[in-house]
Amino acid sequence: MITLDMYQSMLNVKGKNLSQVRQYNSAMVMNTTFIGDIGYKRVYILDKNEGWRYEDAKYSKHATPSILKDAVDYYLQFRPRIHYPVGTYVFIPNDEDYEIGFEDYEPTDPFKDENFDVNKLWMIVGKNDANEFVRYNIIKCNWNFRWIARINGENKIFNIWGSVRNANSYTSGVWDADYSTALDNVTNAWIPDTYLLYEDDLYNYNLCDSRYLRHEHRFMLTHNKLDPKVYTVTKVQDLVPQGIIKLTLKQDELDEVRDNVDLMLCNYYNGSGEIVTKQESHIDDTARSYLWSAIVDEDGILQRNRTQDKVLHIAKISYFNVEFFLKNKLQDLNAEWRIDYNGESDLSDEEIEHLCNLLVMRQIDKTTISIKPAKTNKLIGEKFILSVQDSNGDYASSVELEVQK
Amino acid sequence: MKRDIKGISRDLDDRRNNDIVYKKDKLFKMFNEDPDLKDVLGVLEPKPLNEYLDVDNPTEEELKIRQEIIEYNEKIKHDQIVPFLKLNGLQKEVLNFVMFDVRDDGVDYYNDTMKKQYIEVMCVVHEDDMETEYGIVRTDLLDYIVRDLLCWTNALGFQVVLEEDRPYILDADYYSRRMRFAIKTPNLVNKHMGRNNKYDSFKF
Repeated sequence: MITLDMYQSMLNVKGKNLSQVRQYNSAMVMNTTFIGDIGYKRVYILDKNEGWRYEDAKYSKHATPSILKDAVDYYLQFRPRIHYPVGTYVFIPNDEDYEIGFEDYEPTDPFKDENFDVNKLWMIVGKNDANEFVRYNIIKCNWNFRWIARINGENKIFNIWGSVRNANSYTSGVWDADYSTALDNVTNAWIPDTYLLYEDDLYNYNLCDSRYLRHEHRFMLTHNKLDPKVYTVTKVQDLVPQGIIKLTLKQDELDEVRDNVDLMLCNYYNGSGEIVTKQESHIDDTARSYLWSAIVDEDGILQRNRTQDKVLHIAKISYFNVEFFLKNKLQDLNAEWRIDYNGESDLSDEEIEHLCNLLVMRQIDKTTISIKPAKTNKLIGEKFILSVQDSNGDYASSVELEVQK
Repeated sequence: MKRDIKGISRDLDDRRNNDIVYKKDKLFKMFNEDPDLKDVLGVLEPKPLNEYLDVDNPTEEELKIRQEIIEYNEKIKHDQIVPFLKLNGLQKEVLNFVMFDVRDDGVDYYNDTMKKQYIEVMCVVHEDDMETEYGIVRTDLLDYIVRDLLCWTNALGFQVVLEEDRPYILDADYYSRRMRFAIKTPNLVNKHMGRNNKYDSFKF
């Protein structure tokens, strides 16, 4: 026989008052029926403490599309009492299959996995603080933002998945000033605040620290390599909502000297055409590289200079070409060039840097560069080392050059 | 007085018809022929063509690379020495310019056969390209070359005098230095006709 005391004891387990008991019961019902819902998805989510893990979630969207916003609202709901911070990455299966592509294993870095599918990558951007059954706003990640920033004196390449959003820009796209016309277009982007979410653990998850994205950093936001669209960060809002950094981006021009269109990286080279990031070198004995000087014949065709010229002339262009061979087979690799001073050691670092800057280097193609010493007698008699290696550091060659009149 | 307007025949290609046309033509040649101006302006050198391993049978890859080089060489052709003070349209790449024009500004107080003429030169540099390999700001280096060519020269007839040289911010992306050279010159269309208009005929 069930007594009043027994009933009261049971209720006390579930909550201190009837409201809590009802919430407990409805959470139990939700939990039990969770995977029966048509919106149920088994998602892959990045947890701060446990890393990437599978989680049960319900996926839904706002029924009526809004013409006032650039996207319909999408929601994710986890099991009762399960929460994730705003800014968390989550892979959600779409209508093409029930899974996200790596269901048989749990990759520790799904971004580098061969089954990575950007169409399934989302980001939590808001939390609906309901009384029960909290839902999260999610948006799809549609761009991998790549930029170069300086850490501890070294330039490094950063990348972070985020979302490019529309921004109201009531202009024609150009602005006419007194003497010139300039681009006048803005767009928005949202990226997760990775350090706020994961602190130092972000390096364990192979994420980049988004705090190193600052004003004046430039991105290539384009699929068109013939006419790439470049944008500069002009506004960074990282306070609200916590976990998301909102960027305002203004359209900028492509810099043909500094920007690398193939890698879609802005400011990859400095003004002299040298790569700004440090390349690690590990020479492979089985690999061979041959560095040649080249000349342009009367038909404008670049040909190898059989006499191997090691002299540069001021205000005149000299060409250099490299070939990479592995077991006597020519390799199709990108060459990375560098010029170092090889003259008097009593010059200061600033003077040496100034002399190196006077040699203007320009990339012609993957394996060819041109060097044009500036028009100054200061360079006459100075010696430099031109070195080249591939991007992995498996091949390396160098030659000493002297500048003459 | 009769004016025979229908019988007017001009050689429009003759630069000497008008002193402004003549001076601008001379300035354009002067700037284009200078060995250093284009270099400091950052005029890109065309890329050399790739070599075919077999000249008579180039591969598809070689032909594709050759075509890309030709397209690139076409793309980098920009008029960076401009004979008027306005950049036409949107400059989508980082480019620098030397713009110039000539204006007449008043006649001499005592002798209206002489007029005061000004040559305005603007060295316009994109903000992303202000540094040169010499460590000198590009606008200043361009300014030096233009002044080196024009200051106190007699190449345009009378002596050219620099009257003003000031920095100028054009818009969010461009900076410039603007020079104004003064030159006193005859206020005549045709020196042989003097103060007469050649179409005025005093036949009745």
